[in-house]
Amino acid sequence: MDLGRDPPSSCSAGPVGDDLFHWQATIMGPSDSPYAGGVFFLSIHFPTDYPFKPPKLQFTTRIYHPNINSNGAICLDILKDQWSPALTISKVLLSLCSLLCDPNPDDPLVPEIAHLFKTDRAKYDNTAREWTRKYGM
Amino acid sequence: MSLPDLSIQSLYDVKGKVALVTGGATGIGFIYIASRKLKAVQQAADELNSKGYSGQCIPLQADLAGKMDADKLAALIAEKESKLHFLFNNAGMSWGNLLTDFDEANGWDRLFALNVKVVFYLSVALLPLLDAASNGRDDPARIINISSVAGSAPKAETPLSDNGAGTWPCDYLLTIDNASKAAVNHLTRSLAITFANRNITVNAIAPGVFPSKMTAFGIKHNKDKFAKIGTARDMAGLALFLCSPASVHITGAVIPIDGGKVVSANGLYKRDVFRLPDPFAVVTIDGEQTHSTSSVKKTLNPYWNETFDLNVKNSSILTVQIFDQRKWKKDRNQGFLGVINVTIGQIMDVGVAGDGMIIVNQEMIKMDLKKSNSGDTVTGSLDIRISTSPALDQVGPSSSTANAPRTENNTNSNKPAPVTNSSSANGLSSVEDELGPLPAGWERRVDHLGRTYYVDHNTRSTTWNRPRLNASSEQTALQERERARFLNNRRLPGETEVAAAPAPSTTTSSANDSFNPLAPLPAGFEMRHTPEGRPYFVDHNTRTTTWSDPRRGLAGRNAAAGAATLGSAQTATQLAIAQQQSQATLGPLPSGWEMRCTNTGRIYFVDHTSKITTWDDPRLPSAVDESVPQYKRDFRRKLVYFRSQASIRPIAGQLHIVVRRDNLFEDAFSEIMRYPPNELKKRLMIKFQGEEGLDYGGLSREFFFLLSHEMFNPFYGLFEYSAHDNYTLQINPHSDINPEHLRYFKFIGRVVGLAIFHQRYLDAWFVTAFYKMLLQKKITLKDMESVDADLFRSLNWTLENPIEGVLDLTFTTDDQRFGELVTVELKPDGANIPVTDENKEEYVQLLTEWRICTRVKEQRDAFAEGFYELIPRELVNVFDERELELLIGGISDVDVDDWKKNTEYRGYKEDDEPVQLFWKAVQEWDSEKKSRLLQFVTGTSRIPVNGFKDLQGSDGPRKFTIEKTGETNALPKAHTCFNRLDLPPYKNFATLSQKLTLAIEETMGFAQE
Repeated sequence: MDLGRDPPSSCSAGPVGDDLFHWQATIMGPSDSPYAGGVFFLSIHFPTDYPFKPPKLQFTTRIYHPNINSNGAICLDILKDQWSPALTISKVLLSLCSLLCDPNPDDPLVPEIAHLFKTDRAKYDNTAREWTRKYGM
Repeated sequence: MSLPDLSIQSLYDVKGKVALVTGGATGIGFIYIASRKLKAVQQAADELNSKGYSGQCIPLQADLAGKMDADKLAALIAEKESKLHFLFNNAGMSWGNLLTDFDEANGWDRLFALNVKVVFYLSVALLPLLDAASNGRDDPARIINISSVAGSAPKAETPLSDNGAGTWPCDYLLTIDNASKAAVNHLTRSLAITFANRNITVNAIAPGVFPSKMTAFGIKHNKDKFAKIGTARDMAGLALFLCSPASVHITGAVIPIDGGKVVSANGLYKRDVFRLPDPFAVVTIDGEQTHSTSSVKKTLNPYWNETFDLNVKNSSILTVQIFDQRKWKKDRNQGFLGVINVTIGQIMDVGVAGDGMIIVNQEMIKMDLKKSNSGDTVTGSLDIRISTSPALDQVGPSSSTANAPRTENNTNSNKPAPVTNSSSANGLSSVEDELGPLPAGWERRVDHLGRTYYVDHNTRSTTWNRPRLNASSEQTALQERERARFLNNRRLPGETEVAAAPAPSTTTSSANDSFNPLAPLPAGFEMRHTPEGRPYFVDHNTRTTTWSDPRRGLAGRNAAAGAATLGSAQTATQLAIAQQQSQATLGPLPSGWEMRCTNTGRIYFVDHTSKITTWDDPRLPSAVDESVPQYKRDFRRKLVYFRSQASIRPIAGQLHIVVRRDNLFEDAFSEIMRYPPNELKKRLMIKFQGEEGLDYGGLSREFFFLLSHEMFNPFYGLFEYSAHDNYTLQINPHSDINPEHLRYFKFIGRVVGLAIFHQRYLDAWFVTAFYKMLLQKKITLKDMESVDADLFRSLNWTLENPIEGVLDLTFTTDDQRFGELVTVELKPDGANIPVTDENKEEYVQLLTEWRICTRVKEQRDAFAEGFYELIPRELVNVFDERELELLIGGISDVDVDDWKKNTEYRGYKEDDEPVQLFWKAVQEWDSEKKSRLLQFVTGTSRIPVNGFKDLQGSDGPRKFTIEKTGETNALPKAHTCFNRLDLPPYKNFATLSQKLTLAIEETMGFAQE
């Protein structure tokens, strides 16, 4: 829908089969994050009210992150009440890239990871790198 | 010659065979299962595979509508398999509607395409694979078409496909899936011949009622009408047989599998496929005293309402037989439709008049119709009412009145019309008889035939039966109990809890009837005198006062009102109704005031203290009284105006409605849809079958309460919760999954109208837009807020920001209909009109209207049709949408402690002064104003069942929140999405109270600057 117009370098997205309402996306782990080198797959479902309602995004690759749980669900305000019709899929994916670089431990989806992130950053980085190697490479 | 192998293993061996089953997502399904519902078919396949059947189940998604789809599916199979042994043509749909509104596309084209055309094309398209699988006469390929018993007997699935089942007369309703199934049956036979030489057998299975998505609604609502619902096992047996070597010699057969259901129907049994009977009833006692009713034309749900006087003993047998007038004296069995036999002694005790033992069952009795000796099938039930009328000079058996079928009606049934002759034959006063004084509020009268009857002034009803002394107190207790069960705290403004001290509010005039001024006053009454010496009466039972002597009947007053004035009886009645209604809405008159009626029927008021008369009701605030808030002045005024209109006053008589608690929805539907609207305007008398209790208000209150929980239950698919919270309702745009949904919407419209008409409340709250639609107001974007807050925000954003180059939109929208995506044009050629900054306002308006109104237009129109039958459009239009909410749902008591406990603060702390002032103000307000405040902040006056802790916002639970924001000279603001009140830090109580009042009174929701 919009990726053709301004394709970001670190992500890609496109329809799965001929269902235009179901896409698959990939995000490259940002180089300045413990996710560097990983490739993360996401599924995107567009509601019929898109772009007036936010798309539903979910990681299908496991990832160790305070705002992403084991089912791949993402806690990100622009995918909920801060959604704006002006947001495009590439902007959403870029926001996700920046969420990977800068987790938001104050509004966590997985409180244990958030706690570790705040108290023992090195251990958090290690685990995140390990998961990236295990699931994302 | 050796015996053939007849072992079960060899007769029923289907190992290594390949099957295709269409319509396999739900219901009856097998091996290559194809359906348009991919997810459901996948689940079905997983389930089948996981159950460990030998063989594998592979799901396919296919939406079959014609040759092309059939070819596509066949190609898909051909890719994977070289042979197909069994083809099950199972996909099917049903559809039905009014004859005059029979949609061509859905009713005929789509239905016949799926049910008939696809059977043919799929069979043909798969012929190569079937040919390949066919292995001679002893091992043919098989085509098995799933038809329906309805294909040969149109009424066989009656409880599912139509509503003659005592639900509504189906004279004008048609479902044609029956016809399509008949086509399938014959197509089966034709294909059997065509394919005979190819060694392919073609058979059809005609199931009765089996569970699937198509039949789910019908089954759910008619559980008790089926002896047994078919199961997968029932079907599998026959299906396996038709696939197995055991059935190679069967082709062109249509085999019913219905547990014998093909023989029964509902309502009265329809003996003739094309005609409805003209039923009439014959009533006899012990084979004598024969009476018959008139016949009612062409119906399965006759309503005779005729009364017969019959002489009975306890041992008498009352027989009511129903016949079809058209077949009477023609048919072998006279058009017999059913019979009931009742031994009188079993339902009532007929004593001898005067012995005080006349205990009578006045209530409606519902009895199932039975067969006669001929054994023809009979279904349906009969309602009768039996009451005694002891004749004065009775020596032998007393006489009984059998009010043969259906409810009674005041004007022509066993209740005498009011007559003025109240003098009694033997010189006793009207409040006593041979057996002593009557209970308080009762009067004895004699009708024009000389029969004695009793008037209960407490309830304004009459009866043939002498009241027992304690009956009245029993009734009061009962009434209280029922009242307590439901909403005794729900009311409208002015309906005060306890009536005030001496406030005579009824009229009287000098009377010369036969009442005995020396007779004792009824229990609980007291006579007092005004300072001027005029006597008045205090009824301590009801805490009311009246000028009229309770020992004196209405009749006396009427007679005294003077023969010269025209229609004095009417004006008295009118006055009585006006008093009753104004009392209900406004409370009693102030002390010393009296309401009177001119001989032209106009109401006026007398102030005995200042000796003035006025047209103005002293309870109404006058226009100059500025201290009364505007909203209250308006709503009360409107209510009084509304209730004073002749078109919404109850008409004389009673309407008896009997329902079963466990089948409330359907019973209420059939009862309420059975009557013309005018019948419904009579006083409602609700009875729950099998329960004692007379409806003095409590039962009908409970009825509406329970019914609202049924009708609006999202489970039925007629209404759904809004996306805003989970307790305000809106019309489900996809309610047409139930093909009868429009009749249900009309019914619900009637019920809502009925509740308003009879001043009962429904336990249901709707999104604001729904009330606006009922008032035919224009829907605006703001109304979206309570429907779908996300969409509201985005559309607002669209209006406020440039969209060109940002949003790529046309004047269309997508609608998801059960997994199928449909693009809808918002205006003609909308798909080719891009949305720009110039026309985006139109787009937002059209999209809003489509989302809220257009896509539920049919449902809304049906609802409105039912509603306006009871409440005229121009009358309800005096209210605004918030007032309409209160009118329908009533005002409930708001628990301020609970409210306070579950309130959160932003910027404030609980003990900050403005917060304290806020709660002080709320505490002081009455229920109505509290409800208004709730409407203002949360969008509805509804409080969740579990109290304020469960208050929902647009994004899940959101407690009531008070935020410190705004200038102290501004008004408070509300954000209904988040149940948030923006309260500026007002310095003193007066300002806070005034600003808050102004805000809730003058604004319609959010953002009043």
